Amino acid sequence: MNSKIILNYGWQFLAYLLVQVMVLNYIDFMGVATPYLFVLFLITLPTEISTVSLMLIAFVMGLIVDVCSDTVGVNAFACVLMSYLKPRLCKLFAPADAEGEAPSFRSFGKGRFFQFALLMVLVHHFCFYLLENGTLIDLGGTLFKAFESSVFTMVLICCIEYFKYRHNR
Amino acid sequence: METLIRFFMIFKTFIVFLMLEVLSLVLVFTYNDYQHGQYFNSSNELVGRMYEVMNTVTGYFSLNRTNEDLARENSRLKTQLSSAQAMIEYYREDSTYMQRKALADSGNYSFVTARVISTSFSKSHNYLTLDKGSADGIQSEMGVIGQTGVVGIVSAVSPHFSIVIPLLNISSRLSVKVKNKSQTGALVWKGEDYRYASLEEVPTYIPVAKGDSVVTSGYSTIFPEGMYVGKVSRSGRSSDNNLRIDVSLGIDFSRLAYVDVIKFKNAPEVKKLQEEGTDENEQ
Repeated sequence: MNSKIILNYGWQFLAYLLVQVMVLNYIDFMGVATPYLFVLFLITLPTEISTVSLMLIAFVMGLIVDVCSDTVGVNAFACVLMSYLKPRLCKLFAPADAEGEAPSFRSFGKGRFFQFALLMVLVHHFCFYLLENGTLIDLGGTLFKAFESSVFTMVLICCIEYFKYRHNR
Repeated sequence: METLIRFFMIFKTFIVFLMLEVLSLVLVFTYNDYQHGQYFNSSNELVGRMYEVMNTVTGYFSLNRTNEDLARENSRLKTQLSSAQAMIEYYREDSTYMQRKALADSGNYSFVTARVISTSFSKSHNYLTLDKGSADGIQSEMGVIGQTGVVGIVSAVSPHFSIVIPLLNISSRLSVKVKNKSQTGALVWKGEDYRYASLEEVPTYIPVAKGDSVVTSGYSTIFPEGMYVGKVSRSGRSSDNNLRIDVSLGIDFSRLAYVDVIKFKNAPEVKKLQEEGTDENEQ
């Protein structure tokens, strides 16, 4: 990876964070769903990055979002878990010729990328909502929120990835 | 030692994973603990700053609603302020207050305080609307006075509202006199300046000076005698044998807020008697 690509990811990191803490955190769709779109940054980081670096990036990013939404540690935990599982999931879904590439509609194929992203989002969101609640009281409600937010996030992810796909073609 | 390092190298991913997760959990639980949650929440100096900066951006998203809220509160406060001001004026420069009190004490008169909900003073047929009506005992042909003088006469009532013909209506005609003089005249308005009315039918031999008070004559059941109307602002001869008198009205019609409607207890009796008297004359 050359410095230009790293700089590009740096900008993306900032952009995702800003959009998350300034816009998406304030969306409370029908009182249950808040999209956590910033996980898309972690999902689409190239697979050539080592898992340790990935987890460190995820921890920092999650913690920043946490501090801005007063859920300290919760997003960090969910993001680190998600990043820890990412290489294993990549092995499952990535086609052989996509080794080391950034996951996307183009490199993974639409169906495979969707499944991969969905699993990652579900891990993050269920982990986040369960830990955020901290209890098993109203477990059904918590799971429902996690599910609703996952759907919301997935819709946004598909829109953005589709836009990138059309743009890069 | 070498084995230990190799162990770390092999399991480094898992160890980093565990460390980060434990750190996150420690943060989660110390944050939940009120005593220790001072470093990583929004009361932290750095994050507080960040929120401040964020708020300058996110503030724009809610500006519309904030504006609406402020406007609503403003209008509420303004209403409160104006009613408070009206009340202050009511008691401070109220020249009719003592008179009203005396009348009310005599038992023959009572007053209904009403708010003026619509008013005009720039047309020639001006009307006022009050927020009280027949449900509060107001009937047509009742006198209406304000804080600083006579306002007009009720012309129509509905259950909760009433219409007043103020002095500022070219069809208004009020029987008045100059204070301490027995000669009565008619107060009319010619549709010019809302601050002045004309006093007619006062013969030239009556000495009327600038500054004399003009009060109601009491020759009707509408107003009791001596209610303040205004001050003579100009007095001079006209072409006929009457004086031309301009009266500066006590009431400022441009800022009427609260008025009192005068209820004369014996009005029906007087009216009936008057009707009987005219009937007998006709027979």
